[in-house]
Amino acid sequence: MTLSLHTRAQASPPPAAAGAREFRDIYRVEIPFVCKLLLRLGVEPRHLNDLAQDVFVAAFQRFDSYDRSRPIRPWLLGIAYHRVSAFRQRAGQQREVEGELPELPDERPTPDEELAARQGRELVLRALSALDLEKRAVLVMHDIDGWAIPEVARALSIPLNTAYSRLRRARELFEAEVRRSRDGGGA
Amino acid sequence: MSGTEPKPLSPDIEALLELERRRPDLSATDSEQIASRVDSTLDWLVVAGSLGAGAAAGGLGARLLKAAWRGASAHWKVGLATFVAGGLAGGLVRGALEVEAPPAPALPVVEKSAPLPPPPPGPKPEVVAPAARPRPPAPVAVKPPAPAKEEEVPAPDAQGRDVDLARERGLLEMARTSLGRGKSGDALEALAAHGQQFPEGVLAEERESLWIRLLLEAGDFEQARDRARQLHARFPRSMLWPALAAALWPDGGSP
Repeated sequence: MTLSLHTRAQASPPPAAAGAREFRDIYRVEIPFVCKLLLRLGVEPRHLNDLAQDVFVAAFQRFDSYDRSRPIRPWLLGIAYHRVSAFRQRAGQQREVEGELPELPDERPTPDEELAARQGRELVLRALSALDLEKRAVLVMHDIDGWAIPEVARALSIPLNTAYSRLRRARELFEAEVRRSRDGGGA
Repeated sequence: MSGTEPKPLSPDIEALLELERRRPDLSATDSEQIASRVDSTLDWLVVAGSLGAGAAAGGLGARLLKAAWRGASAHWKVGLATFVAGGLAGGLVRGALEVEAPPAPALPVVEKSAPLPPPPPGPKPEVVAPAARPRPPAPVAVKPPAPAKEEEVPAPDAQGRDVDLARERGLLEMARTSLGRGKSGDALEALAAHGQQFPEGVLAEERESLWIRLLLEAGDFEQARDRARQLHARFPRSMLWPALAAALWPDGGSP
């Protein structure tokens, strides 16, 4: 499958060199955050690097519009959300197939305690896969990353009530999926 | 629906989410790879942007020459002046003889003299029949965008790989910084060293991208384009390509 992920290079004038230097100082610190975010939004590990690059390049092209007085992660999340959505449309991906999760990066075999933690994280990703991207993004941003709902709504450009509604429904579905997996011996 | 916080999560769900919050970070190797490719793409976006502004102001060729002249050291200026003079003279002779210029090769050109010392060639793409558009070779030379499974690649241990990647990145960072400061000679040395030590390195794509920038800075637009075609043939799924193509074919011409 050809991954034509990249935003057109000439969609908007890129920041000047000075803006590029500022962006470079900022984005590198956020690479781990964006990669985890992409995993939680359902990106398979084999596409992680490409999507991460895509997110940062798109962020760079929009950097002039970023409000420096606001935290950067919700802004990055909004960009990541739209890039993942576009990627899925191009790749024709729907809800991820349930079953064995793809091998995740940097998960080394460890003692029992760490093994239990790893299994727990796998269960989380499996349960998240039961949600569509809209609900998934709200739950990830609020319940995992800890952002308040108004910030979530702003990042995703949705009304506040919509954000609350999606969160409620996301939690219902997420919890049901967790219970189902546990009852079925999946965790 | 009222805009109120939903009721709290049940403790076991909350505990589960806490495990996910503590997910380990990406490996340093993967972070470096991403950073390196993003940096290379940003470089090209800035170059494309500046070329676009320059073209509007006073002609693309003049802009490139001015940029190259400003950044060049003494011996580079001599080389550049010689190159330009030679090009102009050749153009005059050709015009006088009314020789029709051969069509620009659509395929990668491996051997070509240049004002720069010949860059270390990357692995040559497979030769294909002449075509109007460059086509990627058979998948043999395709580089995967990310190392999905380590066991599929005969590679040194993970620690050794991290050390190698750090060295690769150090050399390319040196080249990038030198380019930014107009020190083309230093950039050339760093790129040559990377090509010698890591011909098939993880960051080979970024190396090629920097070579192209170096050629562009020296005003050798044609070889920059040739080298770009080679890069595209070797890395057909390169994330750098859109920004790179926009810089080298700013009028939207076909590469």
